[in-house]
Amino acid sequence: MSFLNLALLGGVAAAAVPILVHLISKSQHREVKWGAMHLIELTLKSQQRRIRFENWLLMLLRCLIPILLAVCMARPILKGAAALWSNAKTSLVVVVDNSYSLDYEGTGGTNFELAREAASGLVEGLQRGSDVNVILMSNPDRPLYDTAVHNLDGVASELAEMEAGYGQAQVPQALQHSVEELARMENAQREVVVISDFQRISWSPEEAGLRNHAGDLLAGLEMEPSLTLFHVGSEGRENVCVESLEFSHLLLGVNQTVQVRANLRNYGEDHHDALRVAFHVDGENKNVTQIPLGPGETRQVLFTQRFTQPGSHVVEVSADADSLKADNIFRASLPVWDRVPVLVVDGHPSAEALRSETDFLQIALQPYREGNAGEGLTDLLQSRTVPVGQFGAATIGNARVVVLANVARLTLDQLNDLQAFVRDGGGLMIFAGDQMDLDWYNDRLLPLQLLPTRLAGMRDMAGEPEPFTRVAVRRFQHPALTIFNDQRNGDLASAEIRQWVRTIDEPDNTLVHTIARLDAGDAFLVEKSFGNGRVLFCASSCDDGWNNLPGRTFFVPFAQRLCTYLASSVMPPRNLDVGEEIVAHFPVTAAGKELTLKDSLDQEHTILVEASGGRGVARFTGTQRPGLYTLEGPDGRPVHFVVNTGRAESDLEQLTGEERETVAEGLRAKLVSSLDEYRELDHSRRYGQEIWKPIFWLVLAILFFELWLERRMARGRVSR
Amino acid sequence: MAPLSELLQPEELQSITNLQLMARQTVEGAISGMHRSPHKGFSVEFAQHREYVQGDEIRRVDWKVFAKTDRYYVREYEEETNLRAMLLVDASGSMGYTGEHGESKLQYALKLGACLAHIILAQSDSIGMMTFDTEVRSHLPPRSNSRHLRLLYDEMIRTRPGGETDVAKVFHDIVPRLHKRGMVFILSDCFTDVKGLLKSLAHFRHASHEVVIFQIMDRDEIEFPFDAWTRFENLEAVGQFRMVDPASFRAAYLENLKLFREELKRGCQRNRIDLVSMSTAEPLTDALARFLKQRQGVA
Repeated sequence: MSFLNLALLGGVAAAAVPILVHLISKSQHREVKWGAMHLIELTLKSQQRRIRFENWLLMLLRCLIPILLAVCMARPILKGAAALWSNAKTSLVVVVDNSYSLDYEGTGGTNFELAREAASGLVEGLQRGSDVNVILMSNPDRPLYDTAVHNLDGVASELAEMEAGYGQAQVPQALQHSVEELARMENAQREVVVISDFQRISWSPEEAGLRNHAGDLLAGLEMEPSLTLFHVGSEGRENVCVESLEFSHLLLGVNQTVQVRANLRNYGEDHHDALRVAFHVDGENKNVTQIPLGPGETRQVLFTQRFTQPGSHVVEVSADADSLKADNIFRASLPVWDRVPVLVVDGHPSAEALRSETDFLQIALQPYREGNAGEGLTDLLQSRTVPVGQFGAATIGNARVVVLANVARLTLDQLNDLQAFVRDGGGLMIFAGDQMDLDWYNDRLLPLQLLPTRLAGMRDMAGEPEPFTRVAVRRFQHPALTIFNDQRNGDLASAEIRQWVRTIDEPDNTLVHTIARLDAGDAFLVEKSFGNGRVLFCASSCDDGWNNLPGRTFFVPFAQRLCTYLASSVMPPRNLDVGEEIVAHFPVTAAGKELTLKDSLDQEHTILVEASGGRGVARFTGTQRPGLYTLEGPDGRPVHFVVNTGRAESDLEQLTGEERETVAEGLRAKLVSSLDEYRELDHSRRYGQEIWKPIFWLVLAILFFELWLERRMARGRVSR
Repeated sequence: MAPLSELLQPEELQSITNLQLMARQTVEGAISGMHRSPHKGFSVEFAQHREYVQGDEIRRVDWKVFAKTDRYYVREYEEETNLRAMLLVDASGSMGYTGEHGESKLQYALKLGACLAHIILAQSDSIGMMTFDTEVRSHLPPRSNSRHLRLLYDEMIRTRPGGETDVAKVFHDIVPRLHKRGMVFILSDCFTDVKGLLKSLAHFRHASHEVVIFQIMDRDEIEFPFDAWTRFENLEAVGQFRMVDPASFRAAYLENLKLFREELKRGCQRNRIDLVSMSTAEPLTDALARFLKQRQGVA
């Protein structure tokens, strides 16, 4: 503890005054010759201890009052060990909320500009030699610097140039990364400052446990850092966002008309009578409509588009109604295919017509070609059938889907090629059949994640009163089967399934989904994701050996939907969330080539195509900013990737002051809302805190207590 | 009648005269009431008729006169002297306390005793006096002649506050010395152990004496008005003292005084003893009138 006016501390000597007054008054006593001595004796006997105690207490209080007053006037400053570090270097981790909600422009600029200004101010206020790192909440895995830097001017200028709109805030993760970052930093005095708009969605009570756990980790560091929550920005009262786009087709072919359904939501308090919604395709305005949208309302707007050219296209729906731009536009990359190659592996070929395992499937996958339809009608899927012996990386080529139809087993090389194909985003369809070596499937295919679930054996209903079962009728949720919710597209339950391979259910495995069942209770279609690809297992055959599926009217759409569904994931996704890696596949001949990628800010990046899994693969990780990324392929054709942010941040409601206090309590943090407040807090942490105010209140309390005690003593008590 | 000037101021003497007149009317209710029961059957002498006034007892109405005159008269009697009264005056050190008004409790008690003696002798009753502290210091047996009053006054004038008090012991000693039952007036501050005092008073009652206690206190003892540090020196024991800060002490003292007086009052009620509390600050005539009215049952 130190004092600002040390000289005034001499006033402590005034403590002697009550003692002197006491001694003088006692020495100048009067004398009385007294008769009722026995009453005095009686009173002294019964009350002496109390009277003595109260007298001492009173004397103590009377001495304390001048002492504390003198201390008050000397302006004491309380400081602990922190005082030793008052001029010490600091290790500072600034956690900046750069989620797109901070793009909201209130009074005095956007909220992010305020956050940026605060962060720069913090860094500029550091002692030379301090080290700093910056963690961005939308991408906490990647701090601004690989290791903390000492170039404070450089950090400040970089912060000053930073922009918001980088996705959704991940508060607990950011805090946890700040722990890791601090552990690597070098100064004894450590500090974490979290700058945020405290948007309710990012600081939800549901995540309090995770946040507080991170707070515990911070507190548990060998040298505990101080944690400060810095609230910036004002709360937005109006925001309309385009929440999502939905497409009518899983896979879009040339000349097909796709319906684009845009979901819009008004998070604000304003009522829009005629909200202008625009539809762009490849940057060209195709349609504009106006819709009413009240506070809190959600509406859909439908646009249609027919693509005449195959290749990568970009559709965009915008409703530019407010100052938060990041969620006013929703883009999607939409590949339009002229054909989708499918490789069918026949496990039971036959020279006779329609006796081969894959004959019906071949017809179903390309009905126009097989049926010699007239000109103008083409198949989207282009299938090619090979016997098991010819299957391999070479035959896979540019296929998007591989179908194993009643295949007994594969060689080790074939297995490796198949695994690489699926891992890189290929779709694998397995149809069961009598040639299958179930043990091989369980022993080899299952461990490689290429079989969704363990096979339990074959089931044959021959000889039973009803020698078949059916596909259980229910409302399908899976995108491959939703068209069969409309009976006009075919009734799956009309098929008779006589034989099938039983599977073992794995209800606890979240990667495995049974998307259709038989009335007998066994699974009919089971799906599992592996790597970037998907595997679908059909428990019965694709010929008429075990069922009458090929003879049903729905068989063509059934086979087409399954394959287009699998093909829709063939290529790595082109619609990504912020921070997700861009991956593009090309023919293996492109390996070694350098491609050019233009990011959302039109900056160009060079990417090397690498050979992997029998194809050329290009990767790009710098997708921290939402927008359109265009990759020029080896053939010169553009491939579009769209990086979108989640729309949770569109609700701009912030925590109330009380709620922020609660959050701060949970994290054992201090809460500030301006640089001045922060500096005051920092000053008290470094140099201690003036405590004359509480001491003054203490003096007042003692005065009142002394008064009360004196009156109480005068009133007295009797113990008898 | 012997002169009272040595003890009483002229105005007090005048007051006493008035008191005597009042006593004539009230002695029947006061003194007579005190010894009526034990002396039932003693002869009385008719004095006069007097017109009935409101407050007179109905049984005193002379119905024969009423029958003859159709007016209400009451009979008045002069009783024969049969009251033996004894003044027991506490002359211990504590009675010597003198407050701001300059009169000690002993002086006040002696004045009171003089008044009582004057009243009683004026009625031709007999009265004696004993002064005591730890033992009986003087003893004048009850007499009813007028020269006896002079002796009483002389003794009163000579009485000075003495040493310690041991009321209980003294009273036990006095009881056998009162051969005939009568009235005992105790003039004391009663600053002693209450239980012992009550026990000795019960001894009086056991001997069929009527007992009236005049508890005489100074206003300082009742109000404890001191504020600065005070050295209280014991009047009954030389050299014994207590240094006290009255500010923190007063409340407890007053509470103990209250308890002391309540205990004494309860004990007196239990023994059918009249307790009259007096303060030296109260004019003597007022105090005496209050007592006589109390005895009369008017107060």
